[in-house]
Amino acid sequence: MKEVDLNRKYKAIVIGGSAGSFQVLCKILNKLPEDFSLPIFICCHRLKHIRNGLIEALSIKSIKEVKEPDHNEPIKRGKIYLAPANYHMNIELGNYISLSTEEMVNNSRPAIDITFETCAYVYKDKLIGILLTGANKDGALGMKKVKDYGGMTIIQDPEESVIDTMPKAAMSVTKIDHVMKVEEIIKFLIELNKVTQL
Amino acid sequence: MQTAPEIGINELRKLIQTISERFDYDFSNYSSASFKRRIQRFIEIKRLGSVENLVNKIISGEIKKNELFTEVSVNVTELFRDPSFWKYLRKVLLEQNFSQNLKIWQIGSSSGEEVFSLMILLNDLNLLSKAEVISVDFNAGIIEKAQSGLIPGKSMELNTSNFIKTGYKGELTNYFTAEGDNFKLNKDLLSKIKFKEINFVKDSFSGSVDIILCRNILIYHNPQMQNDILKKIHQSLNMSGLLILGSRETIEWSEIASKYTMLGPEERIFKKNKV
Ligand SMILES: C[S@@+](CC[C@H](N)C(=O)[O-])C[C@H]1O[C@@H](n2cnc3c(N)ncnc32)[C@H](O)[C@@H]1O
Repeated sequence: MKEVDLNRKYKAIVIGGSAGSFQVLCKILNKLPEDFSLPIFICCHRLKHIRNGLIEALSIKSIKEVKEPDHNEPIKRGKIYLAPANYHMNIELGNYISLSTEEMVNNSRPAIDITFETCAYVYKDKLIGILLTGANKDGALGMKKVKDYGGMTIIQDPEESVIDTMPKAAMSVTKIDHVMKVEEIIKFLIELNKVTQL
Repeated sequence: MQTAPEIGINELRKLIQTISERFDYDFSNYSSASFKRRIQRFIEIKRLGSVENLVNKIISGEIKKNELFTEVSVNVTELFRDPSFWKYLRKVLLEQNFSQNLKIWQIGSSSGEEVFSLMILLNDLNLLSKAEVISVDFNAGIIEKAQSGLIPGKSMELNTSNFIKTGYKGELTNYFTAEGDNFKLNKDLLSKIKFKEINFVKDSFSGSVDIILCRNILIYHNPQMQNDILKKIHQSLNMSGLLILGSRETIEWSEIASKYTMLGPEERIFKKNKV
Protein backbone atom coordinates (compact mmCIF):
# COMPACT_ATOMS: atom_id res chain seq x y z
CA MET A 1 0.00 0.00 0.00
CA LYS A 2 1.15 3.53 -0.82
CA GLU A 3 2.06 5.95 1.95
CA VAL A 4 -1.09 7.00 3.76
CA ASP A 5 -1.32 9.67 6.38
CA LEU A 6 -2.39 7.72 9.43
CA ASN A 7 -3.24 10.64 11.58
CA ARG A 8 -5.00 10.46 14.90
CA LYS A 9 -6.82 13.72 14.21
CA TYR A 10 -9.54 11.91 12.27
CA LYS A 11 -12.91 11.82 13.99
CA ALA A 12 -15.30 10.22 11.49
CA ILE A 13 -15.61 8.23 8.28
CA VAL A 14 -18.25 8.61 5.60
CA ILE A 15 -18.78 5.98 2.92
CA GLY A 16 -20.95 6.17 -0.20
CA GLY A 17 -21.77 3.85 -3.06
CA SER A 18 -24.48 2.58 -5.33
CA ALA A 19 -24.50 -0.13 -7.99
CA GLY A 20 -22.26 -2.96 -6.85
CA SER A 21 -21.30 -1.35 -3.56
CA PHE A 22 -23.31 -3.67 -1.37
CA GLN A 23 -20.84 -6.55 -1.65
CA VAL A 24 -17.97 -4.13 -1.07
CA LEU A 25 -19.60 -2.76 2.08
CA CYS A 26 -20.17 -6.28 3.34
CA LYS A 27 -16.50 -7.08 2.86
CA ILE A 28 -15.38 -3.94 4.66
CA LEU A 29 -17.75 -4.34 7.59
CA ASN A 30 -16.88 -7.98 7.88
CA LYS A 31 -13.21 -7.15 8.47
CA LEU A 32 -13.64 -4.12 10.65
CA PRO A 33 -12.24 -4.71 14.16
CA GLU A 34 -14.80 -4.82 16.92
CA ASP A 35 -13.13 -1.98 18.76
CA PHE A 36 -13.16 0.33 15.74
CA SER A 37 -13.51 3.67 17.46
CA LEU A 38 -14.65 6.25 14.89
CA PRO A 39 -18.28 6.62 13.90
CA ILE A 40 -18.98 5.52 10.32
CA PHE A 41 -21.77 7.03 8.23
CA ILE A 42 -22.86 5.01 5.22
CA CYS A 43 -25.08 6.23 2.43
CA CYS A 44 -25.91 3.64 -0.15
CA HIS A 45 -28.52 3.88 -2.90
CA ARG A 46 -31.35 1.46 -2.43
CA LEU A 47 -34.90 0.74 -3.47
CA LYS A 48 -37.79 2.70 -2.01
CA HIS A 49 -40.09 0.71 0.28
CA ILE A 50 -37.58 -2.04 0.88
CA ARG A 51 -37.23 -1.16 4.46
CA ASN A 52 -35.20 -3.76 6.18
CA GLY A 53 -33.35 -5.97 3.72
CA LEU A 54 -30.19 -3.95 3.47
CA ILE A 55 -29.69 -3.29 7.15
CA GLU A 56 -30.21 -6.93 8.05
CA ALA A 57 -27.88 -8.16 5.36
CA LEU A 58 -25.18 -5.69 6.41
CA SER A 59 -25.60 -6.50 10.09
CA ILE A 60 -25.12 -10.18 9.45
CA LYS A 61 -21.86 -9.51 7.65
CA SER A 62 -20.65 -6.99 10.19
CA ILE A 63 -19.04 -7.78 13.51
CA LYS A 64 -20.38 -4.48 14.73
CA GLU A 65 -24.01 -3.46 14.82
CA VAL A 66 -25.20 -1.40 11.87
CA LYS A 67 -27.95 1.01 12.74
CA GLU A 68 -30.44 3.02 10.73
CA PRO A 69 -30.69 6.12 12.88
CA ASP A 70 -33.90 7.83 13.90
CA HIS A 71 -34.28 11.56 13.51
CA ASN A 72 -32.18 13.51 16.03
CA GLU A 73 -30.23 10.46 17.15
CA PRO A 74 -27.05 11.27 19.11
CA ILE A 75 -23.82 10.07 17.47
CA LYS A 76 -21.81 7.57 19.47
CA ARG A 77 -18.18 6.54 19.15
CA GLY A 78 -17.56 3.48 17.05
CA LYS A 79 -21.13 3.16 15.81
CA ILE A 80 -22.08 2.46 12.22
CA TYR A 81 -25.01 4.44 10.82
CA LEU A 82 -26.74 3.58 7.56
CA ALA A 83 -29.00 6.14 5.85
CA PRO A 84 -32.55 4.72 6.00
CA ALA A 85 -34.52 4.08 2.82
CA ASN A 86 -36.32 7.14 1.51
CA TYR A 87 -34.68 9.65 3.89
CA HIS A 88 -31.71 11.93 3.46
CA MET A 89 -29.23 11.51 6.31
CA ASN A 90 -27.68 14.75 7.61
CA ILE A 91 -24.94 15.13 10.18
CA GLU A 92 -25.58 18.14 12.42
CA LEU A 93 -23.40 20.37 14.58
CA GLY A 94 -23.98 19.29 18.18
CA ASN A 95 -23.15 15.64 17.52
CA TYR A 96 -26.41 14.22 16.23
CA ILE A 97 -27.99 12.96 13.02
CA SER A 98 -31.06 14.44 11.40
CA LEU A 99 -33.19 12.89 8.67
CA SER A 100 -35.17 14.71 6.01
CA THR A 101 -37.68 13.90 3.32
CA GLU A 102 -36.98 16.72 0.88
CA GLU A 103 -36.96 16.12 -2.85
CA MET A 104 -34.47 13.71 -4.30
CA VAL A 105 -30.97 14.90 -5.09
CA ASN A 106 -29.29 13.30 -8.13
CA ASN A 107 -32.44 11.18 -8.43
CA SER A 108 -31.66 9.67 -5.07
CA ARG A 109 -33.02 9.70 -1.54
CA PRO A 110 -30.91 9.08 0.44
CA ALA A 111 -28.42 11.15 -1.55
CA ILE A 112 -24.72 10.54 -1.00
CA ASP A 113 -23.92 14.20 -1.66
CA ILE A 114 -26.10 15.27 1.26
CA THR A 115 -24.54 12.91 3.79
CA PHE A 116 -21.03 13.78 2.61
CA GLU A 117 -21.60 17.54 2.52
CA THR A 118 -23.18 17.77 5.97
CA CYS A 119 -20.48 15.47 7.35
CA ALA A 120 -17.74 17.66 5.87
CA TYR A 121 -19.32 20.78 7.34
CA VAL A 122 -19.32 19.26 10.82
CA TYR A 123 -16.02 17.33 10.86
CA LYS A 124 -14.00 19.64 8.55
CA ASP A 125 -10.42 18.31 8.15
CA LYS A 126 -11.08 15.48 10.59
CA LEU A 127 -13.16 13.50 8.10
CA ILE A 128 -12.30 10.68 5.73
CA GLY A 129 -14.59 10.30 2.72
CA ILE A 130 -14.65 6.98 0.86
CA LEU A 131 -16.56 6.62 -2.40
CA LEU A 132 -17.13 3.15 -3.79
CA THR A 133 -18.39 1.71 -7.05
CA GLY A 134 -21.55 3.22 -8.50
CA ALA A 135 -23.49 3.98 -11.65
CA ASN A 136 -24.17 7.71 -11.30
CA LYS A 137 -22.53 10.94 -10.23
CA ASP A 138 -24.04 11.23 -6.77
CA GLY A 139 -21.26 11.64 -4.22
CA ALA A 140 -18.85 13.52 -6.48
CA LEU A 141 -19.76 16.97 -5.14
CA GLY A 142 -19.86 15.52 -1.65
CA MET A 143 -16.27 14.36 -2.06
CA LYS A 144 -15.38 17.85 -3.26
CA LYS A 145 -16.77 19.28 -0.03
CA VAL A 146 -14.76 16.79 2.01
CA LYS A 147 -11.62 17.94 0.19
CA ASP A 148 -12.52 21.66 0.37
CA TYR A 149 -12.78 21.36 4.15
CA GLY A 150 -9.40 19.67 4.33
CA GLY A 151 -10.55 16.09 4.84
CA MET A 152 -9.08 12.97 3.21
CA THR A 153 -10.63 11.58 0.00
CA ILE A 154 -10.43 7.94 -1.02
CA ILE A 155 -12.08 6.22 -3.98
CA GLN A 156 -12.36 2.58 -4.81
CA ASP A 157 -10.04 1.77 -7.71
CA PRO A 158 -12.14 2.31 -10.87
CA GLU A 159 -10.51 -0.79 -12.36
CA GLU A 160 -11.88 -2.88 -9.57
CA SER A 161 -15.29 -1.19 -9.45
CA VAL A 162 -18.26 -3.01 -10.95
CA ILE A 163 -19.34 0.32 -12.43
CA ASP A 164 -16.80 3.12 -12.28
CA THR A 165 -19.00 6.16 -13.05
CA MET A 166 -19.16 7.24 -9.43
CA PRO A 167 -15.47 7.13 -8.45
CA LYS A 168 -14.52 8.63 -11.81
CA ALA A 169 -17.00 11.51 -11.38
CA ALA A 170 -15.41 12.30 -8.03
CA MET A 171 -11.98 12.30 -9.65
CA SER A 172 -13.13 14.81 -12.25
CA VAL A 173 -14.36 17.38 -9.72
CA THR A 174 -11.83 17.20 -6.92
CA LYS A 175 -8.44 15.97 -5.83
CA ILE A 176 -8.50 12.37 -4.71
CA ASP A 177 -5.89 11.57 -2.09
CA HIS A 178 -5.91 7.81 -2.54
CA VAL A 179 -7.18 5.29 -5.05
CA MET A 180 -7.48 1.97 -3.27
CA LYS A 181 -8.66 -1.54 -3.89
CA VAL A 182 -11.14 -2.89 -1.35
CA GLU A 183 -8.43 -4.91 0.40
CA GLU A 184 -6.36 -1.75 0.76
CA ILE A 185 -9.31 0.18 2.16
CA ILE A 186 -9.78 -2.53 4.76
CA LYS A 187 -6.10 -2.55 5.65
CA PHE A 188 -6.13 1.23 5.88
CA LEU A 189 -9.09 1.25 8.28
CA ILE A 190 -7.46 -1.36 10.49
CA GLU A 191 -4.22 0.64 10.61
CA LEU A 192 -6.11 3.86 11.21
CA ASN A 193 -7.89 2.28 14.16
CA LYS A 194 -4.53 1.59 15.80
CA VAL A 195 -3.67 5.28 15.87
CA THR A 196 -7.12 6.69 16.64
CA GLN A 197 -7.48 4.23 19.51
CA LEU A 198 -4.62 5.85 21.40
CA MET B 1 -21.85 21.07 -11.86
CA GLN B 2 -21.84 23.85 -9.29
CA THR B 3 -22.26 23.76 -5.56
CA ALA B 4 -24.09 26.68 -4.02
CA PRO B 5 -21.95 28.77 -1.66
CA GLU B 6 -22.10 27.58 1.93
CA ILE B 7 -24.35 29.71 4.15
CA GLY B 8 -22.39 31.00 7.13
CA ILE B 9 -23.69 30.81 10.68
CA ASN B 10 -23.93 34.57 11.07
CA GLU B 11 -25.80 35.01 7.80
CA LEU B 12 -28.18 32.29 8.88
CA ARG B 13 -28.81 33.95 12.24
CA LYS B 14 -29.50 37.25 10.55
CA LEU B 15 -31.94 35.60 8.15
CA ILE B 16 -33.79 33.76 10.91
CA GLN B 17 -34.01 36.95 12.91
CA THR B 18 -35.39 38.87 9.91
CA ILE B 19 -37.98 36.19 9.18
CA SER B 20 -39.01 36.20 12.81
CA GLU B 21 -39.41 40.00 12.88
CA ARG B 22 -41.17 40.36 9.55
CA PHE B 23 -43.15 37.15 9.30
CA ASP B 24 -43.60 36.28 12.95
CA TYR B 25 -42.25 32.77 12.63
CA ASP B 26 -39.21 31.39 14.36
CA PHE B 27 -37.09 28.96 12.38
CA SER B 28 -34.28 28.84 14.92
CA ASN B 29 -35.21 25.36 16.08
CA TYR B 30 -35.53 23.87 12.63
CA SER B 31 -33.17 21.08 11.62
CA SER B 32 -30.28 23.15 10.50
CA ALA B 33 -28.88 21.16 7.56
CA SER B 34 -32.13 20.83 5.69
CA PHE B 35 -33.25 24.39 6.50
CA LYS B 36 -30.03 25.68 4.96
CA ARG B 37 -30.67 23.64 1.82
CA ARG B 38 -34.24 24.93 1.55
CA ILE B 39 -32.95 28.49 1.78
CA GLN B 40 -30.21 27.82 -0.77
CA ARG B 41 -32.82 26.39 -3.09
CA PHE B 42 -35.05 29.41 -2.64
CA ILE B 43 -32.15 31.73 -3.40
CA GLU B 44 -31.43 29.77 -6.58
CA ILE B 45 -35.04 29.62 -7.78
CA LYS B 46 -35.53 33.33 -7.21
CA ARG B 47 -32.05 34.13 -8.53
CA LEU B 48 -31.22 36.20 -5.48
CA GLY B 49 -27.53 35.42 -5.48
CA SER B 50 -26.96 35.67 -1.75
CA VAL B 51 -28.51 35.42 1.69
CA GLU B 52 -27.89 39.13 2.11
CA ASN B 53 -30.10 39.88 -0.89
CA LEU B 54 -32.77 37.59 0.47
CA VAL B 55 -32.70 39.40 3.80
CA ASN B 56 -32.94 42.78 2.06
CA LYS B 57 -35.87 41.70 -0.08
CA ILE B 58 -37.73 40.40 2.94
CA ILE B 59 -37.21 43.75 4.65
CA SER B 60 -38.27 45.73 1.59
CA GLY B 61 -41.38 43.61 1.28
CA GLU B 62 -40.49 42.28 -2.17
CA ILE B 63 -40.53 38.75 -0.89
CA LYS B 64 -43.81 37.72 0.69
CA LYS B 65 -44.27 35.35 3.56
CA ASN B 66 -46.23 32.82 1.54
CA GLU B 67 -43.80 32.44 -1.32
CA LEU B 68 -40.95 31.85 1.11
CA PHE B 69 -42.90 29.48 3.35
CA THR B 70 -44.22 27.42 0.45
CA GLU B 71 -40.64 26.67 -0.55
CA VAL B 72 -39.19 26.24 2.91
CA SER B 73 -41.86 24.16 4.61
CA VAL B 74 -42.56 20.66 3.42
CA ASN B 75 -46.11 19.42 2.96
CA VAL B 76 -45.58 16.06 1.29
CA THR B 77 -48.09 13.48 2.42
CA GLU B 78 -49.90 10.40 1.14
CA LEU B 79 -53.02 8.41 1.92
CA PHE B 80 -51.92 5.50 4.13
CA ARG B 81 -48.32 6.72 4.16
CA ASP B 82 -46.21 3.86 5.55
CA PRO B 83 -48.76 1.06 5.00
CA SER B 84 -47.18 -1.21 7.61
CA PHE B 85 -47.92 1.45 10.21
CA TRP B 86 -51.62 1.62 9.25
CA LYS B 87 -51.83 -2.14 9.34
CA TYR B 88 -50.41 -2.13 12.84
CA LEU B 89 -52.58 0.77 14.02
CA ARG B 90 -55.66 -1.18 13.01
CA LYS B 91 -54.48 -4.11 15.12
CA VAL B 92 -53.75 -1.86 18.09
CA LEU B 93 -57.14 -0.15 17.90
CA LEU B 94 -58.88 -3.50 17.72
CA GLU B 95 -57.12 -4.63 20.88
CA GLN B 96 -57.93 -1.52 22.90
CA ASN B 97 -61.30 -1.47 24.49
CA PHE B 98 -62.72 1.94 23.94
CA SER B 99 -65.74 2.14 26.17
CA GLN B 100 -66.51 5.83 26.01
CA ASN B 101 -65.86 8.50 23.49
CA LEU B 102 -62.57 8.68 21.72
CA LYS B 103 -60.85 12.01 21.34
CA ILE B 104 -58.21 12.16 18.61
CA TRP B 105 -55.86 14.91 17.49
CA GLN B 106 -54.05 14.75 14.23
CA ILE B 107 -51.30 17.36 14.15
CA GLY B 108 -50.08 18.58 10.74
CA SER B 109 -53.12 18.30 8.47
CA SER B 110 -51.16 19.14 5.36
CA SER B 111 -53.53 18.50 2.44
CA GLY B 112 -55.56 16.07 4.54
CA GLU B 113 -54.36 12.65 3.45
CA GLU B 114 -53.42 11.45 6.92
CA VAL B 115 -56.67 12.43 8.60
CA PHE B 116 -58.64 11.01 5.65
CA SER B 117 -56.84 7.70 6.10
CA LEU B 118 -57.70 7.82 9.78
CA MET B 119 -61.40 8.38 9.04
CA ILE B 120 -61.43 5.45 6.66
CA LEU B 121 -59.87 3.25 9.32
CA LEU B 122 -62.26 4.42 12.07
CA ASN B 123 -65.19 3.84 9.76
CA ASP B 124 -63.95 0.35 9.02
CA LEU B 125 -63.66 -0.41 12.75
CA ASN B 126 -67.11 1.03 13.50
CA LEU B 127 -65.54 3.65 15.72
CA LEU B 128 -66.71 6.66 13.78
CA SER B 129 -69.73 7.45 15.94
CA LYS B 130 -67.59 7.38 19.08
CA ALA B 131 -64.74 9.47 17.77
CA GLU B 132 -64.12 13.18 17.84
CA VAL B 133 -61.35 14.00 15.37
CA ILE B 134 -59.52 17.32 15.32
CA SER B 135 -56.94 18.06 12.65
CA VAL B 136 -54.63 21.04 13.11
CA ASP B 137 -52.12 22.87 10.96
CA PHE B 138 -50.59 26.31 11.12
CA ASN B 139 -50.83 26.87 7.41
CA ALA B 140 -54.26 28.37 6.68
CA GLY B 141 -53.94 27.81 2.95
CA ILE B 142 -53.29 24.14 3.31
CA ILE B 143 -56.12 23.65 5.78
CA GLU B 144 -58.49 25.06 3.21
CA LYS B 145 -57.23 22.49 0.77
CA ALA B 146 -57.68 19.70 3.30
CA GLN B 147 -61.17 20.90 4.12
CA SER B 148 -62.21 20.55 0.48
CA GLY B 149 -61.61 16.79 0.83
CA LEU B 150 -60.08 16.68 -2.62
CA ILE B 151 -57.25 14.37 -3.61
CA PRO B 152 -55.62 14.91 -7.00
CA GLY B 153 -56.28 12.04 -9.38
CA LYS B 154 -52.64 11.79 -10.31
CA SER B 155 -51.70 10.78 -6.76
CA MET B 156 -54.31 8.00 -6.65
CA GLU B 157 -51.97 5.38 -8.05
CA LEU B 158 -49.59 5.70 -5.09
CA ASN B 159 -52.48 6.06 -2.64
CA THR B 160 -54.16 2.93 -3.95
CA SER B 161 -50.94 0.98 -3.81
CA ASN B 162 -50.51 2.06 -0.17
CA PHE B 163 -54.10 1.10 0.61
CA ILE B 164 -53.65 -2.37 -0.85
CA LYS B 165 -50.51 -2.87 1.24
CA THR B 166 -52.41 -2.08 4.44
CA GLY B 167 -54.45 -5.21 3.78
CA TYR B 168 -57.73 -3.42 4.46
CA LYS B 169 -60.73 -4.87 2.73
CA GLY B 170 -62.72 -3.03 0.09
CA GLU B 171 -61.67 -0.52 -2.50
CA LEU B 172 -60.16 2.84 -1.74
CA THR B 173 -62.37 4.52 -4.35
CA ASN B 174 -65.45 3.45 -2.37
CA TYR B 175 -64.61 6.20 0.09
CA PHE B 176 -64.33 8.86 -2.62
CA THR B 177 -66.41 10.37 -5.39
CA ALA B 178 -64.79 11.38 -8.66
CA GLU B 179 -64.96 15.12 -9.28
CA GLY B 180 -63.26 16.22 -12.48
CA ASP B 181 -59.56 15.38 -12.13
CA ASN B 182 -59.92 14.88 -8.40
CA PHE B 183 -61.41 12.49 -5.91
CA LYS B 184 -63.45 13.88 -3.04
CA LEU B 185 -63.69 12.16 0.32
CA ASN B 186 -67.27 11.10 1.02
CA LYS B 187 -69.25 13.58 3.03
CA ASP B 188 -70.08 11.27 5.94
CA LEU B 189 -66.34 11.02 6.66
CA LEU B 190 -65.28 14.56 5.75
CA SER B 191 -67.96 16.28 7.80
CA LYS B 192 -66.78 14.54 10.96
CA ILE B 193 -63.34 16.17 10.86
CA LYS B 194 -62.86 19.45 12.72
CA PHE B 195 -60.04 21.45 11.16
CA LYS B 196 -58.29 24.10 13.22
CA GLU B 197 -55.62 26.61 12.37
CA ILE B 198 -53.18 26.29 15.22
CA ASN B 199 -49.44 26.59 15.58
CA PHE B 200 -48.77 23.63 17.77
CA VAL B 201 -45.39 24.92 18.88
CA LYS B 202 -46.38 28.46 19.74
CA ASP B 203 -50.07 28.62 20.57
CA SER B 204 -51.38 27.39 23.85
CA PHE B 205 -53.41 24.36 23.10
CA SER B 206 -54.34 21.67 25.54
CA GLY B 207 -56.94 19.05 26.20
CA SER B 208 -57.48 15.54 27.41
CA VAL B 209 -56.99 13.41 24.39
CA ASP B 210 -56.89 9.65 23.82
CA ILE B 211 -54.84 9.49 20.66
CA ILE B 212 -52.42 12.05 19.23
CA LEU B 213 -50.94 11.57 15.78
CA CYS B 214 -47.92 13.80 15.26
CA ARG B 215 -46.27 12.30 12.22
CA ASN B 216 -43.49 13.86 10.19
CA ILE B 217 -43.34 17.12 12.09
CA LEU B 218 -40.59 16.35 14.59
CA ILE B 219 -38.49 15.52 11.58
CA TYR B 220 -38.17 19.22 10.70
CA HIS B 221 -37.02 20.22 14.16
CA ASN B 222 -33.88 20.03 16.25
CA PRO B 223 -33.63 17.97 19.46
CA GLN B 224 -34.58 20.89 21.67
CA MET B 225 -37.83 21.58 19.82
CA GLN B 226 -38.52 17.86 19.54
CA ASN B 227 -38.35 17.72 23.31
CA ASP B 228 -40.65 20.74 23.70
CA ILE B 229 -43.26 19.37 21.30
CA LEU B 230 -43.24 15.98 23.00
CA LYS B 231 -43.67 17.56 26.43
CA LYS B 232 -46.64 19.50 25.13
CA ILE B 233 -48.22 16.39 23.68
CA HIS B 234 -47.55 14.54 26.91
CA GLN B 235 -49.53 17.08 28.92
CA SER B 236 -52.60 16.68 26.76
CA LEU B 237 -52.60 12.91 26.47
CA ASN B 238 -54.77 10.83 28.78
CA MET B 239 -53.41 7.94 30.81
CA SER B 240 -53.02 4.88 28.57
CA GLY B 241 -53.43 7.21 25.60
CA LEU B 242 -51.55 6.63 22.36
CA LEU B 243 -48.84 8.86 20.96
CA ILE B 244 -48.15 8.17 17.31
CA LEU B 245 -45.07 9.44 15.48
CA GLY B 246 -43.63 9.16 11.98
CA SER B 247 -41.73 6.04 11.06
CA ARG B 248 -38.28 7.44 11.92
CA GLU B 249 -39.29 9.66 14.82
CA THR B 250 -39.01 8.63 18.44
CA ILE B 251 -39.44 9.77 22.04
CA GLU B 252 -36.06 8.27 22.93
CA TRP B 253 -33.59 10.90 24.27
CA SER B 254 -36.47 13.19 25.26
CA GLU B 255 -37.71 14.02 28.75
CA ILE B 256 -40.85 11.94 28.33
CA ALA B 257 -39.02 8.79 27.17
CA SER B 258 -39.52 6.86 30.41
CA LYS B 259 -43.23 7.62 30.58
CA TYR B 260 -44.20 5.57 27.54
CA THR B 261 -43.99 2.06 26.24
CA MET B 262 -43.52 1.43 22.55
CA LEU B 263 -46.05 -1.10 21.28
CA GLY B 264 -44.40 -3.60 18.98
CA PRO B 265 -40.85 -3.54 17.69
CA GLU B 266 -41.13 -1.35 14.63
CA GLU B 267 -44.05 1.05 14.33
CA ARG B 268 -43.92 4.25 16.32
CA ILE B 269 -46.97 3.87 18.53
CA PHE B 270 -46.26 4.73 22.17
CA LYS B 271 -48.65 4.08 25.02
CA LYS B 272 -48.62 6.41 28.00
CA ASN B 273 -47.80 4.46 31.14
CA LYS B 274 -50.13 4.43 34.12
CA VAL B 275 -48.46 5.98 37.12
C1 LIG C 1 -44.77 16.94 6.08
S1 LIG C 1 -46.40 17.39 6.57
C2 LIG C 1 -46.91 15.90 7.34
C3 LIG C 1 -48.34 15.58 7.04
C4 LIG C 1 -48.87 14.31 7.68
N1 LIG C 1 -48.84 14.39 9.12
C5 LIG C 1 -48.09 13.12 7.20
O1 LIG C 1 -47.29 12.58 7.96
O2 LIG C 1 -48.25 12.72 6.06
C6 LIG C 1 -46.12 18.51 7.90
C7 LIG C 1 -47.29 19.43 8.15
O3 LIG C 1 -47.18 19.93 9.48
C8 LIG C 1 -47.50 21.30 9.49
N2 LIG C 1 -46.80 21.90 10.62
C9 LIG C 1 -45.46 22.03 10.79
N3 LIG C 1 -45.18 22.64 11.95
C10 LIG C 1 -46.38 22.89 12.54
C11 LIG C 1 -46.76 23.52 13.76
N4 LIG C 1 -45.84 24.03 14.58
N5 LIG C 1 -48.07 23.60 14.06
C12 LIG C 1 -49.00 23.10 13.23
N6 LIG C 1 -48.70 22.51 12.05
C13 LIG C 1 -47.41 22.41 11.71
C14 LIG C 1 -47.05 21.80 8.13
O4 LIG C 1 -47.77 22.96 7.75
C15 LIG C 1 -47.35 20.61 7.22
O5 LIG C 1 -48.62 20.70 6.65
